[in-house]
Amino acid sequence: MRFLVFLLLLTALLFSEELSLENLLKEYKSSEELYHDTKKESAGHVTVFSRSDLDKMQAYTLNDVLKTLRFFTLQTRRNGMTTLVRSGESQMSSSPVKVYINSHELNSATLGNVLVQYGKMGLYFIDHIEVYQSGNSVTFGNEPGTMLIKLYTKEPSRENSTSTQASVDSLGSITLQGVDAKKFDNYSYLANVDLRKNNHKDYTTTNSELSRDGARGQFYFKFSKDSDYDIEVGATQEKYDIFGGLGTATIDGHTYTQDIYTHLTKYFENNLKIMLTTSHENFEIYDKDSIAIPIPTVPFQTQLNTEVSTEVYSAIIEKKFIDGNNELSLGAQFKHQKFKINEYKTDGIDRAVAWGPKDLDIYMIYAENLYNINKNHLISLSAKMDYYENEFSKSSTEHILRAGYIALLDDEWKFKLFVMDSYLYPTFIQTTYSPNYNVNPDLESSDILLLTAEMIYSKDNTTFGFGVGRNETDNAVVFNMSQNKYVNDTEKNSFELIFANIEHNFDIDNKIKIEYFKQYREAYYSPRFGASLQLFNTVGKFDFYNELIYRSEYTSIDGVDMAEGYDYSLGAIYKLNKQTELKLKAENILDKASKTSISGIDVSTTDRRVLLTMEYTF
Amino acid sequence: MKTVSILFFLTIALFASDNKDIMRAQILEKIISNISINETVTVWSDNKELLAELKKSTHIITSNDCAKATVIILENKEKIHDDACKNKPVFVLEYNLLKELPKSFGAFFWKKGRPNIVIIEPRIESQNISVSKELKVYVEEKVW
Repeated sequence: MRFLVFLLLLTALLFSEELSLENLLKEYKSSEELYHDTKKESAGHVTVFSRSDLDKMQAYTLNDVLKTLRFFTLQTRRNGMTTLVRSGESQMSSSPVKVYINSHELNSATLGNVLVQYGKMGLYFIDHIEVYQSGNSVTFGNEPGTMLIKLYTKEPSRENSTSTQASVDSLGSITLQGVDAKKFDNYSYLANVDLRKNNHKDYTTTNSELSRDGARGQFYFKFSKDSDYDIEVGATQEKYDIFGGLGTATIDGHTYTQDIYTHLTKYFENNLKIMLTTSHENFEIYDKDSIAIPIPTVPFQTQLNTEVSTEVYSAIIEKKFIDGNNELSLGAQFKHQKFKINEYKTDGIDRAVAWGPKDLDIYMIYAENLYNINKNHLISLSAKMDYYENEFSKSSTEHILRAGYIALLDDEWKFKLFVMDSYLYPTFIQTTYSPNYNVNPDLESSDILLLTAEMIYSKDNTTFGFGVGRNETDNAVVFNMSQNKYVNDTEKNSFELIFANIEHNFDIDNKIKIEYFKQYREAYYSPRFGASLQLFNTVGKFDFYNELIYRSEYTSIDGVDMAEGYDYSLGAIYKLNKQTELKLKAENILDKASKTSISGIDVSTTDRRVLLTMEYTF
Repeated sequence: MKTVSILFFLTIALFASDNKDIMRAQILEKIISNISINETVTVWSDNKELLAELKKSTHIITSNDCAKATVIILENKEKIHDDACKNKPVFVLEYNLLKELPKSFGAFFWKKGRPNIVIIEPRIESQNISVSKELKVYVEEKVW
């Protein structure tokens, strides 16, 4: 507490500069932040990480941002990947998070959990991030999720530069990143290359040395013609040690993923646009165990080699009609997903397994109407109908209905209310293929009813927010341990949630954010409540960032009691000159970040480490 | 392209966005009022919105005719047609214009996501332009 008071006092001493040219530039930069053009208040309860926030946070990977989100805890998985777990749920729960780069949804067809593959994605080419929780707009397209994360790339006309960045950390990790962006006449491009060797803390168990070290490469390129088209290409490749593996005594193994996508957006007159996407992902697991890997088809196997791939093709057409106080958006989408099992061997022998349906076609139509009753009151009504048909000729028609009301009650009070009737469709890894549990092709989608409200009070430089919500799920897809597969739960699941936050801007350079959340449900397999504190400061040529993430204690689904977590990180940036910045960041300084139980040991997702970075701009 | 919801419900952001031209004009006003040349500083710009905002200033004089101006704020080099204007000191709004226009002595531009100011020392010296202490921090020796 004393430390917190010290930080607040330090911050309080930093203000009241006269309106110099330098301050005018800062005000101008703030007013021109790109999120002002993309943030959609009617799309849900939104949290924005501006360019300035991400820079000061030294958010090098998506996980650096994800770990701060309310209602979620970042956890390590048995195979060394990371994922977000919704408050109270276990890693086996089905709460898909959607991640978009601009208008492209990153492919999560294989695992149904995009964060597993993209958590370590470098953010050097990203300008800002918007996170929509509870009741996302249907106009984002694709299948629905429980949370939607929109990553917006840097704008070439604002960059006009080539930047490079190199990092090393106290665990021996190395990262090299580059961004090149230019605008010429009506054309522009943005290119990003990101290479990294990720080292993590190793753990020792009775039977194994657990490592999740790995290497990752990433490429992104966008070419645009103003108001005409955008062409985007992205590719990643990642290979890392298998950590706990699928058994209890892993002695060797890795996970190897590759994916590539192309996304074309063509803009026409009168708010009409067409988007075409292709993506391909490949996923390979090699696991060797000294005792046995629990494989459902054949017992007592000690080695698994498997490789799967997914191809996704998508076409979207969208049109907006703006008439006075009314805006109507109409859209249609076709999506084809083709899943392939290229290899499935145990102890070196090909195994024939009756896998689930490998092809899936989805036909979607949606509409959203925003109507301003007057300048202070907006009503949003949305509907989406999705028709699914798989290789087994099993079909279903799903729907989303959503209503929202947003009001500026006066100069200080704002109110948001959303009601949504939605669904979650089972993923390939639940219906079609899994290396270590039985698949269930008969799974049905689950139905979700969501009601959330948020009150926001702003006065002077301070904003208070308070929100409540209730979520009811019928036919939920849950993992049944005795059957070793996902099944539809016959009982209705429900939970309530509350959150509160405060943001105070001391001045243009200095601000503090504090947030608290809690969920109310019957059983908890991950932290039930949590809080965060973020302090952004600038003193002369230095930027400082303090972050404290708290997550409550919990009992894991395996019955292991896990202590509460305090993840404290501190960052400092020194602007040496116009071209060069030196950055220092210490993560999980207290070594008390929230942990996950894997193979009998407690594993922290965030390693305790110090990271040194130098950035040079040409 | 902004949605109705954005227009109506981001009052703070909208306020900031509406201030774009005003703030840009304030910054340019501050720059121009901190330079001095051998004659009275009279400003003309090819950006009409910007010129309209600058006209509201009590600190600088503006003109609707570039021929009568003594300093030009330029966004698009194709907009200078009059020979009488081509040899006047120019402050540009794109960094690349510094390379293309020998008479340009400074720029206000975006780079790496930030607004920047740069004043080119040899060019202010050759055109007998002096800058105040507040602008000295933006003076550089050459165009990169």
